[in-house]
Amino acid sequence: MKRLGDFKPLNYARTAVCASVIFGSTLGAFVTTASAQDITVWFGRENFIPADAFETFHSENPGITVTTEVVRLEQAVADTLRATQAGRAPDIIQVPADGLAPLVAQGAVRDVSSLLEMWRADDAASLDDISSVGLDMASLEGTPYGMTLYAGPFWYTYRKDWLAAAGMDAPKTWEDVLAFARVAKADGHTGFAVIGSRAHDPVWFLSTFMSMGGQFENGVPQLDSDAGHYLLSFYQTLVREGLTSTDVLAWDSGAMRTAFIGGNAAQSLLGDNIYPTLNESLAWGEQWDGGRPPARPGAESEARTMTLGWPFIVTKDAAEDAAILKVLQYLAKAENVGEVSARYQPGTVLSVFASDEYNAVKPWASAFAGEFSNLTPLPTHPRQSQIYQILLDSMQEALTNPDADAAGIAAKHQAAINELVGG
Amino acid sequence: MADTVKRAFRDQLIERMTPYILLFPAIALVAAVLGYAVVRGVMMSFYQIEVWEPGQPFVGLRNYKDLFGSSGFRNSLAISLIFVGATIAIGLVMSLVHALVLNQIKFARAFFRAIALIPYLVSGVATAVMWRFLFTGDNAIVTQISGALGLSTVSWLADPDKALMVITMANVWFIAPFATLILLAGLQTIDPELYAAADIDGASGFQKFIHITIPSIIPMLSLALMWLSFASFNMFDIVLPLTGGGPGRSTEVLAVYMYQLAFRDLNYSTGAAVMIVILVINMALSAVFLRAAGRAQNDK
Repeated sequence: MKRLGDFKPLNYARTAVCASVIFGSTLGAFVTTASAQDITVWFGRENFIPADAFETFHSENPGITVTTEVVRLEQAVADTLRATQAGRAPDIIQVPADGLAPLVAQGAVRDVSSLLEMWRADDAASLDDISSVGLDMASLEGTPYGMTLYAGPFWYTYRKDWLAAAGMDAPKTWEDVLAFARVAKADGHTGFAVIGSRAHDPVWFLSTFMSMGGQFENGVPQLDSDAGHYLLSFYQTLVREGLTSTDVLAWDSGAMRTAFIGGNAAQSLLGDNIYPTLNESLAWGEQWDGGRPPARPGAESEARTMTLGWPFIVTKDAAEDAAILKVLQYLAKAENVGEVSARYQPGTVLSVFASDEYNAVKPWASAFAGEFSNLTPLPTHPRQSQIYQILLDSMQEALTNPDADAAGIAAKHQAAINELVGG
Repeated sequence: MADTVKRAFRDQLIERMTPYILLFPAIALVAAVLGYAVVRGVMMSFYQIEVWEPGQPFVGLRNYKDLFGSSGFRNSLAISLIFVGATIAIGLVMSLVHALVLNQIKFARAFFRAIALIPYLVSGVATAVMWRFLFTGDNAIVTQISGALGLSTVSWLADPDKALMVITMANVWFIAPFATLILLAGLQTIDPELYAAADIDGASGFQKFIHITIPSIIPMLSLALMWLSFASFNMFDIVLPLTGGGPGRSTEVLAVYMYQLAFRDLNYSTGAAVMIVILVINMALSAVFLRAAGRAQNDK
């Protein structure tokens, strides 16, 4: 039995203080956790995640926790729609620019006009440092839904040494391309490496189409046009004259790239992300060079350089603008975009092109900077995927029937596209 | 007396019910996982669910009507039938021969059986990449052999007819090993005394094969047929990376067509309708195989 004399006020006081500290810190931690914001970002490729994996961001913004997941670009739209229906959509998603239309149609994404105003008020310089395609490719009918920080055009790439040996100038038109291809073929090379299979969306085909002055109406390509006829007859010429591989119908991007990188092809359309690998095999400036795709003779003024883009889009039920803005600003930091661009796809942050670090990795970067500021986003349509299938049909029909009437092929497939979109 | 009868009845009931009780969790799990997907798929096929169209209106059988009216679907169905028919014919013969050989092997039997299963253990995409190396590129083995023989050096994957042959061969290579395993299991259940008796009667090897081997493994043959047809109709992961459905639409089998509709065009309802068509074809084929096997067993 305890005696009254055992009562020790000091012990009780000590216990009370300890309990208060423990309870207080627990409560504090709880309060901190409750007020902390969790932001989930779906990246379309692992390579798009900045190297520090948000470590700097977390130290600068202790109240925001960013969780990253990789949901492949090809799956991103479908997965986002499913997640939205289940009420488990992430806050920010990265999708191909042409995937924006279905997301808007389903109300899965949020207008970020007010967020952009906040950005401008907070740091106008960083916003202005982003190329105009950055916003264009994340907008639909004038409404912005996010920001495009990475965009990749296909550059016309050619063997500079072979061209010099042939005494030719760098091709300016697609007729020049064919002329060089004929010379290369005579030397036992593949004149022009091109994708002819159905392995990919016809984005290389459309890039060529746009460089030839091809037009779109409400996002629908006008294949039955001078540019469309010229494009199909260009593909037919490649096959008819043996200027491309006899296996062209089975050629995917890998085969096309390998042909050029391996020193078998004289010309091709290659993405900027392939250039570092190419430069390991062939020396830029000596053996190869590149630039904007050539134009169709007589349609030089209509030529455009198409670019694909992979915008970061804010979802409908994302966290409040202030937290989302911080994440987007972090992603758009020149050092982060530069780091990703150096090892993967080029960015839309213009100051990166002038940085020494970036030019050390991609010595051709400054030569392409002007072209990067003059890119045209690939127009989109909600039925893009089905339109792509019809375009692939037209391309493969032209490759299979090199003597057929190109205008007839274009008319047939244009009719199919128009029927699809209700035109 | 009454207690004894009761107890006997109860024991008998328990004995009869035990297999069903033990099977119930597995059946319930399969029903919950697969059943939900199928029911949901059936329901979706009666609605118009497209990402670019607001709402999800009930359209009854219109998706099916549109589907059968679509030249793309009819083309895919025809290609699938050729693909599955060829796979079943080639795959069954190959797996039967393979199983017979494996059943005869005495030396390093386990090793050879393990080797026989390797293709089935490789993923579909890896299989496609492997077969692609065989047929495309400057160093493609098949193209080089073809060139050495003075034949065309154009990749088989660039030719619509030959591309269908390639995906069929790749599919057989991929799925036949499991059919081999099924048939091998059947062969091992045959009583050796039947062969001994046939030897005494002076039966030839071919006669023993026709009158003993085949009738004895009919249930397994039926199972192998079901496997080959199921796996082929659902085959997707080899075809897409190998040909993407091309050249043209020459290798666009139903599973690839369904993928295109559901996951590229985001037209879920029509994609669901294709899924139901594939399911119905699979069920019909299974019924045919089981019925044929049952009839053959009864005739035996």
